[in-house]
Amino acid sequence: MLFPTPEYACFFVLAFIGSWLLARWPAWHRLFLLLASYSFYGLWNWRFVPLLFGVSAFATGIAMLLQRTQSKGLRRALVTLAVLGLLSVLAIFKYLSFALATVAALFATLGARVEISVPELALPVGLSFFAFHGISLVVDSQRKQMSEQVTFVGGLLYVAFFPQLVAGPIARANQLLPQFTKPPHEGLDVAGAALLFARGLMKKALIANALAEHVVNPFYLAPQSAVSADAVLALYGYAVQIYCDFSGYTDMAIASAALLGYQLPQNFAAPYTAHSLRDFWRRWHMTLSRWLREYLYIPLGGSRNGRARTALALFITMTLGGLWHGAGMGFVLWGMSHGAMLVAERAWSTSSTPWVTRLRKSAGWRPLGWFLTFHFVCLTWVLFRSPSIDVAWEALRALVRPGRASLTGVATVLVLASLATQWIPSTWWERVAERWSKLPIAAQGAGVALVVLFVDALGPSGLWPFIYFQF
Amino acid sequence: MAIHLFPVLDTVTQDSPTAEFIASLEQLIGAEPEPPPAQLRSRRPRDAGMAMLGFALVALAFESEALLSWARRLEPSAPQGVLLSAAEGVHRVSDFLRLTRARQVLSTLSESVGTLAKTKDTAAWGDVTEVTSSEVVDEPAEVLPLTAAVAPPLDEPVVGKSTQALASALLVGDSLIAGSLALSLSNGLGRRGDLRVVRAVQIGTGISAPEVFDWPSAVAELMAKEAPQLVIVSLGANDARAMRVGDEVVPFGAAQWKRVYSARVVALMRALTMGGARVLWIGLPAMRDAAYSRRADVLNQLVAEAADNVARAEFLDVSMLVGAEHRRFATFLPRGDGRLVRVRLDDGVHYAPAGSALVARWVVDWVKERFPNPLRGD
Repeated sequence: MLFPTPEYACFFVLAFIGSWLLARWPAWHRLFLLLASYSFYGLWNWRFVPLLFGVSAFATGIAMLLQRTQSKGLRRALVTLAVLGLLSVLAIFKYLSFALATVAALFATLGARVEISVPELALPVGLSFFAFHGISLVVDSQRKQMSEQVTFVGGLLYVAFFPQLVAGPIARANQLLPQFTKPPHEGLDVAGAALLFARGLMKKALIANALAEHVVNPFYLAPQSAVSADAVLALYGYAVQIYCDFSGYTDMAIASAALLGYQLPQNFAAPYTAHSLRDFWRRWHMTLSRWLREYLYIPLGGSRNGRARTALALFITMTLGGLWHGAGMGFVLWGMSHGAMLVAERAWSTSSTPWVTRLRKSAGWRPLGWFLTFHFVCLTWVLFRSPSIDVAWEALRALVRPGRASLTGVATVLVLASLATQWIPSTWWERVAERWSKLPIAAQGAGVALVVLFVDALGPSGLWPFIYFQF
Repeated sequence: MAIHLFPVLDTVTQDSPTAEFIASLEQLIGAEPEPPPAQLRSRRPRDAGMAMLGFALVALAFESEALLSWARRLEPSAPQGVLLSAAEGVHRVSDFLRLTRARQVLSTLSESVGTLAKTKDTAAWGDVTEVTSSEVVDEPAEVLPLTAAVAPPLDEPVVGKSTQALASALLVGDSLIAGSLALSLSNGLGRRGDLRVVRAVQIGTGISAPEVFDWPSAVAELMAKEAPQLVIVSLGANDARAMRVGDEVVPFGAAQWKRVYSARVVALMRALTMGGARVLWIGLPAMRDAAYSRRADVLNQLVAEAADNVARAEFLDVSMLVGAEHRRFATFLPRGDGRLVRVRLDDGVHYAPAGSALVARWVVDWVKERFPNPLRGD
C-alpha cells in the first residue's frame, strides 16, 4: 500500500481511530499498532508477513536475552548470531542472484563456461529496512544503550511500525522503542503534520512522477540516442526526482507517525546545498548515514586507528552502503566512488600544505566546493539510476553528443525551480506553518484535500501500476 | 542538531574572515543544516480527527472523478461493488453541483502552460514515432549477443504474404509493451526502412475491465485514423482477475469468464484485421509468482485459440524467447559465453531491455516473413 492512495487514506483513518481509542491501555495499544502494521504489510503482499514476523521475532528474542544475561562470552555469541542471521536473510533474498550472476561473469572472463542456475526469489518489500531495524535493536541492547526492557510486542512493533516499515526513516532502537513503552504523546502538531503530508505529496506525485515520466525514464531507456541538452536535463532531473521521491515519501511517513503521537527522525536537510561531500552525507538520507556510522564505520575502527585505517573504514562503509541500495554493480561503483571521494576530501581538508590551506580559506572555495560536490553527486547518480554499467556509460557519453533537444523549456523550469527550493530559508517555511496553524482545524484538512486536487490534475495520469499488487 | 557522519573530519575549523562572512550570509538566507522545529499549537487527537474529516469532505467533493476511477480499477468483488456504487453516487452529486469542473479547469490550465517533452503528435496518444532508418540507434552492447537470441524458427509455414508495403505500424498494449519493448520494436522495425510507429499504450488496462479503459472504441478510432498494415498487441497482464459481467462478478477462470474473454479477444482481433492489417498478439511471459503465471497460461491459451480463428491474426508464445527451459520464469538467461544477462525486471513481471531485444528480434523476423516488400527508404 503506497501512501498517496485511497487505500492508505482508509487504512490510516482506521489505524488512527483504533490507536487513539486504545491509547489508555498501552499493552492493547501496542498490540493494535502491531496488527495494523502487519495488515499494512500484508495488503502489499501477505506472503511475506511470516518473514517480517520471523525476522523481527528473532531480533527481539535475542535483544531480550541480551538484556538478561551478563556473561560476556554469551553476549558476544548472541550478537554475532543475530547479526549474521539477519544479514544472511538479506543476502539470500537480495544478493544471491546477483552474486551467482557475478560468479558466472567471472568464469566467463576467465574463459570457462559454467552453468549456474539462479534461484528465482521475489524481493520482499522493505526487507533492507526491517533487517537494519533488527540489527539496531540487537546492537543497541548489546551496548546497553536501551533505557528500558525490550518487550516482545514492543520489539516486533519497533521493527514493523507501519509509517517507517517500507522505506524508513531508519529510527534507532534506543530512540523509537522507548516511545512505545509510554502512552503516545497527546499534544499533536496537526498543522505541521498536515503541511508535511501535503508537501510530501507534491514532491512525490507532482514533481518526482512528472520528471520520471517525461524527462528521466525516456532518457535512460535509450541514452545511446539522446543528445547533450536532454542528457544534461535528465542528469539534473534525476537528482531532483530522487530527492523529491524519497524525501516526499519520508515527509508522509513522518506526518503519519506524528498524527499517531510518535516522532520519527528527520531524513533530509536540503542536501543539494552541501558544499562538501561530507556535508552532503549529513543532509542526505541522514538516518542511513547515522546507521552506517554507528553499526559499521565505528565497529570497523572508525577514526581512532590512524589515517590509513580510517580511510579504509570510510571506503568499506560507503561501498557496503552502496550495495545496501540494491544488488547491482552500479550501486557498488556508486558507493565506491563516494567512499573514494570522501577519503580524498578528508585528505584535502586535513592537509597542512600551504597552498591547500590558502585555497581552502579563500573566498571562492565554498562556492567552488558546492559546485564540485553537486556535480559529483549528480554524475554518480548516473551509476545509481542506470540498469547496467553499459547504460551508465552511454548516459555519460550522451552528455557531450550534439543535437536538437526534445525536452522543452517547461521541463527546464521545473528542474531548476525544484532545485531552487533547497535554498528557501527555513524561516519562510516556519512562517507559513505558523500562519497555517492559525486556520480552523477542519480548514487545514480541507487545504490538504485541495493540494490533492492540484497534484492529481497537474501530475502525470495513468500511473497506477497495479500489476504490482497481483503477487 | 547536525548529524556528524564522520566526526573526525570536523577538526578543521573555518575561522577566517571570509568564512565568518559566509557564515553570516548563510544565517541571513537561513541555510543552516537543520532548522529548529517550529513551535506550533499542539492539538488533541480529536482535533486531528476534525482535520481528517475536513480533508475527506473536500476530497470527496472535488476528487470524485479520481475516486471513481480508483474504484473501477479494483478487482471486481462484492465489497468493490459497494465501493463502486458509493463512488458513483458521490460523483453524481459533485457533478450536479459542478464541483468536478475544478479538476477540468486545472487540467486545461496545465496544458496551456505546456508539456515537458515535445512529441510529434499530441492529439490522441501523444506518442508517435516516425522511425527513419538513419535515426535507428545501436542498442547497448550487453543486449546483443545472446545464445537464445537466435530466434527459434517459425514453426508454422507462413500463411500468405502481404503484398502491401509496410508503412505504418501500431503498438497496442499495457505496461509490458510500454517501456523497453516499444523502443526495441520501433528500433528493430525502423532498421528496415522508414516507418511510422504509433504507440497506443495505456498502463494498468486490459480487456477484462472496459469500465477502466475502453479498448474496443480506442482501437476503432486508431484504425480509422492510422490505417496501419501491422498491429502488435500485448494485453492481458492486468486481466488475471475476476470480471464484472453486467451486475455479476465472475471469478477468473470460470467457464463464463473464459467465454466472455475469448469473445472480446476475437472481437478485438477482428476489428484490428478488418482493414487487411496483420496482427501479432504477444502472449504473456511466465511470471515469477507461480499463481500469476498459471493465470497467464490460461489467458495465453484463450488468445492462441482466438488467433487460430481469425484470419491474419497470430499469437506469439513469448516464454519460448524469454523463459528458461520448459518455458519457466527466468530473470537471467545465459549468453553464448556463459555470462548471465538480465531479461526481466526485479518485479518479476516486466521485460528488462535485453529481454525486450530478444522479443523484438523475433518479431522483426516475423515481420520480414510477412512483409517481403521493401519499406519506404529501403
